[in-house]
Amino acid sequence: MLKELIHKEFKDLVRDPRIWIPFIISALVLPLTGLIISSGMRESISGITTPSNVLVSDLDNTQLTKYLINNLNITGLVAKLEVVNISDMELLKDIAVSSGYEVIIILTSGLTNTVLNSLRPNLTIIDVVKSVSFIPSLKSSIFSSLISDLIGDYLLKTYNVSLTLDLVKQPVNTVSLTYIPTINQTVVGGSRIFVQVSMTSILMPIMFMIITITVLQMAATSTAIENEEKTLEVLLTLPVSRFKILLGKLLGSFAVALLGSLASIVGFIIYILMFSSILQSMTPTTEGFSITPIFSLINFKGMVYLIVSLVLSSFAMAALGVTIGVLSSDVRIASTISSPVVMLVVLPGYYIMFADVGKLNVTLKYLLYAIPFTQPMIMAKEIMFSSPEELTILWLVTSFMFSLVLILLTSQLLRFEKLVRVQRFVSRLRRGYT
Amino acid sequence: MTSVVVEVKDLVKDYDGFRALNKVSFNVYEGDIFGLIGPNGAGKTTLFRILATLLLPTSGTATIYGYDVVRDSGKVRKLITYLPEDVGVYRNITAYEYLRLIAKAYYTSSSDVEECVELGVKLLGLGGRIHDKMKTYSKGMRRRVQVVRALMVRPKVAILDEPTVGLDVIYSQSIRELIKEFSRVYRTTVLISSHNMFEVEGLCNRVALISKGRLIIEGFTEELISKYGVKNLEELFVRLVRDFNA
Repeated sequence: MLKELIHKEFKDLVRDPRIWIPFIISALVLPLTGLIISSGMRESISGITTPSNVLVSDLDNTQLTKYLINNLNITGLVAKLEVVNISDMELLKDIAVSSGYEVIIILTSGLTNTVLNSLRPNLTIIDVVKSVSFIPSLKSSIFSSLISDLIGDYLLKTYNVSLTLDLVKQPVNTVSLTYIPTINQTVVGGSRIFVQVSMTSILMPIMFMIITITVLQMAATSTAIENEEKTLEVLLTLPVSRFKILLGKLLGSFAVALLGSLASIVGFIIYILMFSSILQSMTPTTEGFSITPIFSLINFKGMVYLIVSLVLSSFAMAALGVTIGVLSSDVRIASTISSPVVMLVVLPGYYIMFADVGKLNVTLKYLLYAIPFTQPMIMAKEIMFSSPEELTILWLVTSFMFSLVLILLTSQLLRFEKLVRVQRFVSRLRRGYT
Repeated sequence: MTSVVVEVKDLVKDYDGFRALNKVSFNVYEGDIFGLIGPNGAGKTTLFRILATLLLPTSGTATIYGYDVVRDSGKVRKLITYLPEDVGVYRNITAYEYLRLIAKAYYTSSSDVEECVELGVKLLGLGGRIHDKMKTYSKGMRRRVQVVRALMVRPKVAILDEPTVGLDVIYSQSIRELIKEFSRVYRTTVLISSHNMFEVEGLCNRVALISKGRLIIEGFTEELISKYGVKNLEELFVRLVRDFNA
């Protein structure tokens, strides 16, 4: 009898497309996801492994600093190196941006004397970054270690000063800064700060993905329930226009989605504030530089645009959900249709999460901005390191227009005669799988 | 002489090559409780959906108070209410909220809305439970909510597709009494479909029997029973459908 029971269970499950379609989708989606993530990460990784363009400001101009510069050149870590004698930080930044330098190393005046007095000089290294990616391509730590090693070697080989093991191991105090030219801000810290930025840049798309998917499924399910329970038939016989019925459905779902989105946004802001306050307390004070706390990287205008974009994206997802629900004669069909549609959000979301959006080609970038579902994800990453683009308003309007067109098309469908036909077609398609 | 309220003429409905209704014609008069009977798949729900402006006929016409259900669907919807077979309820809203929503769809002035809701509350007779979420209601209570919803707006024509299906004897009887009393008091014309011949015989003054999309007979219930020399409507139903299918 056990055999028969197992057979019954197996047949019952395997004949249900709801069971095996997700398996097939997973089998197809996972390699696709890997491809998308790896292509997003490829650029980020290449940023670390390629030699850098380095600008050195040698304010000490001694045998030691010349030794350091010569050795930097022969390490293979440097693609282009320019040596200047400029103390003006703003000028150095300008040169770095205009000539495409990724790292600025400042060998301060008196560095050699400090070393010879068995003291640790300050070494300032600035990463010049334009965008954030999953793996931040920050070179300061590499050059900091290199210069430390070189000074340690130099001390051992050349001078017979009173050396301690600690001094040889760590002959300089490195001050790591990050300059973000797109918003003309300098923040303290190198990779440590950017762990937070990277985490945030991943968490924001994930959060938006969760919100948009939840809205889609909620709207699709609630509309499909109307079909399944035949309450939609009642609504369609009321002396109320179809458009109003649809709009009521949509705006009701959207209002719930909005509350959910706002709760998520509040949670996210608290998360950033908590992280920022911890990092602020860990950040050493640095004199001579205008330093920006990490949280203030996200400018107010950008945050407003982001919230508007998220609201419009939720609206579009609610509209799409209602459309799916209208096409589905029951909740199971709505769920079957929703799964591949959700992938349209998830896959570009993965790409945005892991890619360096600053290095995307213009067509792809604009496409991601134009699609309401991906817009808040890419915007969330960009506003960290740049002011909102002038085209942002246009993208927001595009997102809204997408929803309007979808609503108008769905309102055309919202005639029982058409619904019955379309739902039969969808059911036949679904049955056709088995 | 009572006037014709619903006029169905040569109505045909095809679904993907299948003829669900085949030249069906009949009239329903003001104040009638008109029973549409027939075996499963006879076309009763299709016919009701056409009258309720949900489906479009392939050919033929159907009018309600002279308004064509296709051309004047907006006007027809102001005159009718429709109770689909097995219709559910919104699980997380209360019966009171639901009745209010429906009242607002039919009436604009707040006094009319209040009057309509008041009638609904009275007809429903749920007491304090009217403010409970409808998911807590039994099947019978939910069905009663939907029947009351269809009646309380005092439609000219109420189209009720199997209003007592799946209900126990007590609930079925209470719904039948509700419909009968409402029709008598408000002169509402009611179209009912049902598989319960006892129910149709007790409730409907006139009936139409359809099978495989065709009208077999139509007339006053008592006259038909007497004319065919049968004991009741059930016997008449069985005999005519069997003969028709033979």
